[in-house]
Amino acid sequence: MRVDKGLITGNQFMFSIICFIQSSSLLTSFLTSVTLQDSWLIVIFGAIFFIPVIFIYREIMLLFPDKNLIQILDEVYGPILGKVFGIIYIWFFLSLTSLNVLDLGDFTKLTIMHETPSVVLMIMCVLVASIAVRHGIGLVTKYSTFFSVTVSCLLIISVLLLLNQIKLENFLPILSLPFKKYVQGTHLITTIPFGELLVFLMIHPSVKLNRKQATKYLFWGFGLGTVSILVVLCQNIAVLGNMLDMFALPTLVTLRLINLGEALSRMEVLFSVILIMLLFFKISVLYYVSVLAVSQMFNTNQLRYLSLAAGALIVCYALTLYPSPVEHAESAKNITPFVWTPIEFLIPLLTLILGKFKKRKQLKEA
Amino acid sequence: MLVLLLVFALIALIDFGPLVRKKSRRGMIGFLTLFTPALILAILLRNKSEVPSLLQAVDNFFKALGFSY
Amino acid sequence: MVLLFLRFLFRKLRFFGSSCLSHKPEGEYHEKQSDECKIKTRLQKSLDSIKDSLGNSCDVKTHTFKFGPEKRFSGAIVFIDGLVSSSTITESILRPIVSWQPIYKLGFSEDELADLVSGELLCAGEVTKVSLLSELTLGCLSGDTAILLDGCPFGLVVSTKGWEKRNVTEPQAETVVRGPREGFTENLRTNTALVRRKLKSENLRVENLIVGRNTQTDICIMYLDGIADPKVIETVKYRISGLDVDSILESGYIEEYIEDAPFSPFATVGYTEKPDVVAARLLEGRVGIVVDGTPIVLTVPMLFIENFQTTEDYYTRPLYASLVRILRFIGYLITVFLPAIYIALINFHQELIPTTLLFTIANAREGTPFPALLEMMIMIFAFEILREAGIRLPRPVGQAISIVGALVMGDAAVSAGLVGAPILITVAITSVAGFLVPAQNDSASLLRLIMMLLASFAGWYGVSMGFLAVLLYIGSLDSFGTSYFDGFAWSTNLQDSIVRMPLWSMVRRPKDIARNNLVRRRFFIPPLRPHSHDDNDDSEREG
Repeated sequence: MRVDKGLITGNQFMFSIICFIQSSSLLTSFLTSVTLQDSWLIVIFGAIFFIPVIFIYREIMLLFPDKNLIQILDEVYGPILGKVFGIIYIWFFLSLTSLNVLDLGDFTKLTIMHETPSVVLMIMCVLVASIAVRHGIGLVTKYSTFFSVTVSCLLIISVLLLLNQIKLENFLPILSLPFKKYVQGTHLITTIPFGELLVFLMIHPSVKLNRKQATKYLFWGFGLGTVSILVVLCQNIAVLGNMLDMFALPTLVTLRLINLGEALSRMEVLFSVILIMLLFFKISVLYYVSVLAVSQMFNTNQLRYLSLAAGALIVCYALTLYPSPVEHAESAKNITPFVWTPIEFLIPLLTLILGKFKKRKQLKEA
Repeated sequence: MLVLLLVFALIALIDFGPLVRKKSRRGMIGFLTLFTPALILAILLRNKSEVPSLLQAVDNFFKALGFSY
Repeated sequence: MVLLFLRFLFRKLRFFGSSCLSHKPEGEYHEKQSDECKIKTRLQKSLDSIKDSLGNSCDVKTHTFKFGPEKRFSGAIVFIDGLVSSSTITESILRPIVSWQPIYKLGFSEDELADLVSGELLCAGEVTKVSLLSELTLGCLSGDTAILLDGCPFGLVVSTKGWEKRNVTEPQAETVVRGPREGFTENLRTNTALVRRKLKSENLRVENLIVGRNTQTDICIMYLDGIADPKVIETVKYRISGLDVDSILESGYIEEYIEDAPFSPFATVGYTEKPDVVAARLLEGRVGIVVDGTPIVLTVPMLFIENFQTTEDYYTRPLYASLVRILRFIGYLITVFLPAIYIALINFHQELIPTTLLFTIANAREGTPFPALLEMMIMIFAFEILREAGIRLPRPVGQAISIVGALVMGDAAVSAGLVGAPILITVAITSVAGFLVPAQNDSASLLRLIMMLLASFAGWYGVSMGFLAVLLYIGSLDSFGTSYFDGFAWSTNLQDSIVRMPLWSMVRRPKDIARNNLVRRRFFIPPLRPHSHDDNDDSEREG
């Protein structure tokens, strides 16, 4: 049963993927604190290691073209185990949304709104996102092109404005950190920015794609998003150098350092514009996916009326997650990759293998 | 406190009302599963009591198993 | 007590809701037909019924005459003075009938008299045979002449419309520098003719509807058969013909009755006063609604981007047109967001203002009593008063009032210490920028107010959230089956959105509106450069 009857085009799908990955380019402090000046290498390694995972996702998409993730789990694992996995994934989506809402609230309070309690900022964002959720996925993916193109232009402008402060020797020394850091870094980048592409398995029934188109959109989206992260990271490393792991928001600091002539300075408003647009997009998509998962679990198509309650839960849950941003960054660096790995890699792989097996058995019987 | 209860009452009015009108049992159950934890968490947070974090519990579980950097 | 009040409110709302939604079919009115409404064979009885139903008004004129061989037959004409052209009545109706001298033997019954008169005698082009008194009266009220014949159960309605009407002039609200300057008038037939002059296509269809109990307004629906979406045409016809209203005085009434989002600040039905705009929109697959009595023609479906497109964009060069279009977008953004950004900067983000400007603003705000939000609201309110007064005031007083307005609400307010100069400049820029997109003035005012409140509540973050909320709201609107705003998605529609690509590149029609017939131009080639004659000349000279 299709809960949401909206349709997206393949282009919107691709731009949504780009937006998703770009939004992580601003909040890379957990990565840069691990692998300081080699973070750009980590991005490249992570992208290479993630390509097989994209293949897994693509195969799942093509194997079950009309079912979203919760339905796939139900079909492959049977009713009981499928529901258990479904509950795990609902918890995963809700946690991701709450983490991103917490990020938005905390970082906005840190950079532009110093005195407002972050609860207010979070409630405002979730309220506006619920408008998007009530009208289906088509509404917010409509703007994915606009957001990602605007952000790309702003990023290019910021790189051009910083050209006079880039010092290429900040990239040295290369490959001189202990090996464990590289493993940790690659693990980090494949789970946290890239692994969240799993949520697109919940949206893909709205997009009608054949094999060639799915490959094209997935890989182009992933590629352009990775290039974005790479550009921002290189800019941060080149400008900040040794001070990279001192700051919670390295991009903000580099934008603050823009000094071209007398007029162009203190461009941190650019940072807040990019941050709000991208994080809002990401929160909307994740919020929608959580509500979709819940309504799919209960097998109802009244998605519109569950949205505000889910929003309340997301805000309240976000306030209980971590006592402070420090613990958030700490656990994101060390433990979160391990928690996300079975959810983002192992279970989809298992699902793909079992799913292909089942399909082959069905074809043999028919 | 009053504002909090008012906001939750408003959410129930806006969203629960149409669900009752459409007599969609599963929708009502889904709504209540999302609404009650939110209400309980909100009241607990308002009273500034210590709410244990689910995510941190999972993190500690994984740390105990040895999976951490 | 509260419960009783709530129950009362609930019942009232339900009553209003149900009465607005019920469409009484038009057939109910015509159930009153009976034999009484048919034309009587006795001439005097019919004449008396018509005069009775029109209430013996002094401008209803009747004239009985006898005609035929030995003046056997008698007839009468009924018309309303002022609506008819008397020369047409004399030349086309009375003269041929009264001076009819048949030289052959007549052998027909009195029933066929109407056919004889209309077929052989009248010199008019538009003659209708009717059998009901109500149709005769409607014809008289529309400016036609009704002919009644003694002994014949049918009457004739001849078109003799000749009232005073306005000439085709340049519309005052939509002026252009380059382009045609014709505008619609209040006459339905002139308007449809003006559109037909632009589109000499066989596929242009004009269909008639009559709406409004007391006004009996004629409404014409125009579309290009084969390009317009049949579902949209069906929806328009269904919505208009299902209307049960007292009067349709202007196309704005129709707009409110048929639009998709009645409470939205954004119009989902487009309007215009110029025929070339209507022709361009019909060519893209839209449906035009022409209403008698108003020069404003509606077009559906309407997209958000149309607010920023003017026909002059297509008649001037593409580069300049693109720049002007970007300017319009920026103007709209300025008029909605500038007051909010100012309030946000002053209240929350003072560090973003350059230092020297910060000192000037702080100086200006030192002597003023009100907080920034209140000052801004007072000045915007004052400007709205000026604007509305400027439209309504009579011309002799205009000069004096504008001076008073400019001086008092400008200079004197600052010198008196009520508002600061920076606020004044902000309000001035906001208001002037609002006129770049005049059709959106109403939505801009509303949004401006909401943004100001959000800015004073949560600064730059509030404005961003407001911007995103407005974006989502516009994206969720629907206009007759097409989505109102496609969010600048990656498609061929982008050729005509923020910039205007050259005409030779616009090969396809917009996919959402003209679903079937997409091909506008067959080849995507820039204009061919003419053969350069220099080579030929050289070879000829040498050879």
